Amino acid sequence: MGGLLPLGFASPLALAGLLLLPVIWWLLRLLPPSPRRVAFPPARLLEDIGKREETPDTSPLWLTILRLLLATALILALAGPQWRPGADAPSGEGPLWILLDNGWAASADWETRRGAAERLVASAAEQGRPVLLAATAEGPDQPLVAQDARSVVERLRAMEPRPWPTSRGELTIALRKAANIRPPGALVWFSDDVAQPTSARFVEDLRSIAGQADLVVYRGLGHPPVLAGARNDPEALTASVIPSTAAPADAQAPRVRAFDEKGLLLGETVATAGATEGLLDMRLELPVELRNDVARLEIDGARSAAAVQLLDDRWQRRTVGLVSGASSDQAQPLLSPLYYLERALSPFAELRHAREADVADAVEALISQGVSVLVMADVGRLSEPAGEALRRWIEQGGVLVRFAGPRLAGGSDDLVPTGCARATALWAARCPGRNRSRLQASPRARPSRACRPLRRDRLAAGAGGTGPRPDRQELGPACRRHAAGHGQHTRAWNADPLSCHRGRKLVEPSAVRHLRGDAAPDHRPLRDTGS
Amino acid sequence: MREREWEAAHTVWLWADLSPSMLFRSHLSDTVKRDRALVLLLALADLLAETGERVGLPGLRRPVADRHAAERIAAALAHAKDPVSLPDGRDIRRFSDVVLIGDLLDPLDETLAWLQKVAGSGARGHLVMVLDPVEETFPFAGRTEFRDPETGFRLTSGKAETWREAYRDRLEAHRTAIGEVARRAGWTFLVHHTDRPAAEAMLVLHSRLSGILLDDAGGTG
Repeated sequence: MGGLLPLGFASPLALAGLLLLPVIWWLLRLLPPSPRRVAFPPARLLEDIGKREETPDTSPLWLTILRLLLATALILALAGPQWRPGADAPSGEGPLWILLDNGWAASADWETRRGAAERLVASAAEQGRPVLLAATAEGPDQPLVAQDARSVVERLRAMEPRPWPTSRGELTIALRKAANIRPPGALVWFSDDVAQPTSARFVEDLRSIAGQADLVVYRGLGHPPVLAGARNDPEALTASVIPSTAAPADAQAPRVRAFDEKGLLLGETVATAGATEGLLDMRLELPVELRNDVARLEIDGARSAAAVQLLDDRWQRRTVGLVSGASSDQAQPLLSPLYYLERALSPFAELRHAREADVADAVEALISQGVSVLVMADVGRLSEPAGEALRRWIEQGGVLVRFAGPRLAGGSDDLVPTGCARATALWAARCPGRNRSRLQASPRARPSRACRPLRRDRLAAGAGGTGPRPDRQELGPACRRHAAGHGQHTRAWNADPLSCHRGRKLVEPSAVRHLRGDAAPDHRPLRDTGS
Repeated sequence: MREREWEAAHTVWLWADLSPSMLFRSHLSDTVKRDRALVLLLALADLLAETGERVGLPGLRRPVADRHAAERIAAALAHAKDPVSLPDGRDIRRFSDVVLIGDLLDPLDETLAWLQKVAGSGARGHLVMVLDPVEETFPFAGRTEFRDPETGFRLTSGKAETWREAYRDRLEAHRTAIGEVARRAGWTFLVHHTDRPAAEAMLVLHSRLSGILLDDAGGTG
């Protein structure tokens, strides 16, 4: 088909009807047009005139030509003309295999892809070829047998693009089995152009499955815009946008909208060209409270799963209140108990400092600000109202993290695993050398491990008999009781830089990650350690 | 003169052709031929009744002097069955006037026979031929089928425009034949077209009934 014009016909045999045109011409010229009928009372006067002259009138030439053109148009329409008939089924004996990528990248031009596949199936139906249809995002759990083309059309119409990526590799084995049963006559793959590590391998596999049969890969439709890498940075909510490959070069920059859980629009911004070539950066500057409410980011106007990013707790910036027992105006800021805490926490959380000098006032103020986590660095005994307020806050879900130090060692309240903390501080004070060497040797020392030697041989060996020797049997249940009594929310870590110079190791990100929601698996609660 | 005065109380027979061929109106005219004939008939009846003449419808109504003759005639015509183009001439006697309004398109022999028979009774007559403008000008072209509404006669012309001259000649001959017979019998003949006002024909008709011959050929208006 084709010739000069990219025009094809669904049923070219109907063009034979054009041979009828001369016959139609002859008939039109021969048969007079139907007469105009008029009532005419003196018609009888015409009688003898009519006998004189009987010349039949013929249709005017323009009318004949118009009628012939109409007949031509009718015949051409019956032949089913198709502009650029791209979906010609590859020839070959045996079933036609159609592999259709229906992952997220196919969603933008899904109707085009399905239309092309439908034309293929329709042409196969005309030739009576069976068709095997496989969608690559559906996995191997689909009927991979050649079926009658008409039933395949129904399956094809019911298919829809999936919001997840394709898994072509999983299909290969099942396709091989199907090919062993009945080898394909031709193989067509509608690719979504998204390169995966297994793409090249998949093509090789297809080639080997196809064998002598034709392998046709349709591609070039591109993918929809993609929203990726959303991060809740300290200043703004940022994400990257990969523009659609199908969009023209001078298309408008995509707009990104942020919605909360109820679907209300919180903010909208235009993605601009970023540092990386081919990537657009989106930056939504909102107060952190509003940013924490964002549940859904989406590219305006793109109907695709790739253009939507759902944000959950992991993208929320928690507020952490910091309270220190030391006075805030220290001459040596590096020695402040909060110095390393701030450095460790600030990339992941909003920090709130207490302005009040008094600890009790500071706790009240921070709780009223709605902090999620309260970190107390070396705060000694809490006053009664502050302790009561803290306990109520913990019961309502607050997380209290206490770091030990000289003040805590000096005297503490019941919001701490008393035995553990006091013993740690005492032990650290009495044998600083052993403690340091142990922490040096183990860069991944964790609070739980720091606590463990207290109960075992290391405490017994290092104490040297001069200090009190807490018995293992006594200490274990004490730790357990305090941990259980406060709902797992109280931790006592030996992290005071004054008592241990390597203390900052203990607040390494693996521990802090808990604040962001993805607790490290090796960071067990105290209760497990004791058992 | 004496005789005329005596005759003034004479009878006038009126007749309008109400046959289907009169139920015709072309795009060139506003009026159906039958309506125009009825208008002329009733106006004439009213006019004659005012002057005390006896007005009758041959075969339908005996001629009586009646001031409401036009109304009675209209009622009689409304109840008349099987309209015929030419009335029964048996009641028409000598010294009476006959006014026949119609298209006179029936075969020439019938019309002439009726005319000679009625004229033979000694009555004076006035013929009014009511025609649609189309029937005069024959403005047809192309393949056309002509149908006579009265007899159902059909004739198809391949090129109607080539028939125009022949038709006009034919109509003229038809008219001339009637006019010739009427003239010989002492009757008057008037051609009226429906695209013209009815008053024109009425004026000519009235003057002819009064015995004044305005113009022999002036009735074509």
